[in-house]
Amino acid sequence: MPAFMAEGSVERTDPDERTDPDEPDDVVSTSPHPEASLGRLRQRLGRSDRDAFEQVFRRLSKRVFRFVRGMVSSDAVAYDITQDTFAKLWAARETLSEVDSLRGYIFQMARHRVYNTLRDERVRRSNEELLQPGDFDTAPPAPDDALDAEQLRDLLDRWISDLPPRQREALTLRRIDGLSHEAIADLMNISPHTVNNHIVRAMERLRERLRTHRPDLLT
Amino acid sequence: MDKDGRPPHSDAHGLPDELSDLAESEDARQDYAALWRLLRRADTATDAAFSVDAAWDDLADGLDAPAESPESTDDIGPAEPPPARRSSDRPPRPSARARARRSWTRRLGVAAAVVLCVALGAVLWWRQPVTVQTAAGEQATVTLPDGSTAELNGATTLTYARGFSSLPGLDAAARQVTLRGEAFFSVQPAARPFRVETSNAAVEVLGTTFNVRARLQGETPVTDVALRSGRVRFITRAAADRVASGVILDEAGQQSRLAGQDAAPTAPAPLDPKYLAAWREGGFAIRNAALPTILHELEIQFGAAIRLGVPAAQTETMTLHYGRTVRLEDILRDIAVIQGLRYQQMNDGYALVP
Repeated sequence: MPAFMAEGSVERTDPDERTDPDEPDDVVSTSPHPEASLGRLRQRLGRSDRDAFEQVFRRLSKRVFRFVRGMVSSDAVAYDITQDTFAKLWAARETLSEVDSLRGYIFQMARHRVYNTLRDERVRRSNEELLQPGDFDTAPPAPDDALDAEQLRDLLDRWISDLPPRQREALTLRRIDGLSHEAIADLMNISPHTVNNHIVRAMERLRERLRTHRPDLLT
Repeated sequence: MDKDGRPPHSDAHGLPDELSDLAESEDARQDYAALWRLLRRADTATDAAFSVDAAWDDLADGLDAPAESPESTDDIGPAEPPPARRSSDRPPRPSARARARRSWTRRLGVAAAVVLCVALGAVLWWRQPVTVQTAAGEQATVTLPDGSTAELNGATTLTYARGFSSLPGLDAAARQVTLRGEAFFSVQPAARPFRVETSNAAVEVLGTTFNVRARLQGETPVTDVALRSGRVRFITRAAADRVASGVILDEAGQQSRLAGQDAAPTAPAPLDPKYLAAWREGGFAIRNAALPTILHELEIQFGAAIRLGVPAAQTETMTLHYGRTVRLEDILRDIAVIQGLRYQQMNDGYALVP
């Protein structure tokens, strides 16, 4: 491992961020609904305001899907988990006033579902694969050099799904617009420094795979 | 760094600042940036797989929501919804005592779940095989659960089940280990057979000492077994259950080789005992081997890269024997003299050149 991981990496803290936990999302997001803050929407949601719920859904569902999809490598499973997360959000709407951050709460719910799914899958597959780990080191043959986004995703998916879950999670969360890595640290309940380590290790590993199998993509 | 304590700038396509800062070299930074662009392109495929409108329609159908909500069309929202709607939409809150009771049973449930998880974890842990690995140039001695030992030469992986001996409620696992690389086994006598598996062969014993070397020659797995004492059965892995197949080594100093998956082991041949596992004493021994093979074995045992700077066809097979601790340089010097070559120390190892 590179030496920089051992000690004192870049620590970033945002002293002013915590006035309203949901505000930072709006500050950096490219949301099409700048008019209502998530904090306001949360209050309305607590009153069973379906319109507010729709706004929350429209604003966050794609990001939740991106996160889940990054963890489970299947569109259908990711779709189900995303929908289930929001259905549960609606069911829990009355208790949201106790929640620190609506965005954090939603991602936290999605996370639990993801880990449950991964655990079930692992238990199901462990018997067959205990002694023969998958051959993740080979890249599927590419028809030509110019990959479209879908082929590219399939290619990267194989290697990403081979990363340790925490590395995969940190990297996936970092790829979501509007999630600062302080927010990621909160969500994963680890320090920003550790988030950095996870992401850099993941990048290093992917970089190695690319260098070995598809150096053309790195230029 | 950031201005005004704002969250780190996250440009939609550029590499986030903190990753840029953490790259260990300019090379790495450029690769990260390229990799980040690839990830972003892949994200567009993910985004395309999720239509917010369709998903909302899907979801909205299943919600236990009021048929219409006239007051919520107002974007500001009323201070309080009308009481009539509230009572129909929301079940009455349970009493404090009912909630307390529920939280108590819930805690009990959580405790039971934790106990279950720990028990399950213990069983899974118990069944998880143990793997011991040595790097090239490294040696290690492993004591197996039944008291047998395995001395591992360099670049060797040994895998075995934790439960050689039985645990209450769990069957004792077979005395079985899986080997990649080379190891010398001293097996404790016991009623249950001890079995070493390589990728193509298996060795079954009762109580004995022997050396197993499992290597790849090109694509072909080759396993060599040499007996020091006792008696072993050497069989192909495919035919592992057929008692009659394979050969039996029962005289000290016998050896046999099995190459490939479907072949049979060679007939037992005598081996001068001094060639048997000289590596255990820090020495090195090999008989009638091609020079590339010898260099490969040296790389494994000494953990140094050795390059052959002449075509393999121009070199000759050799027999080498060093009984006790020997330095790699001494072996290379001898090889160079015999083969009419010179050896050079490079910054990453050695080279044999004309």
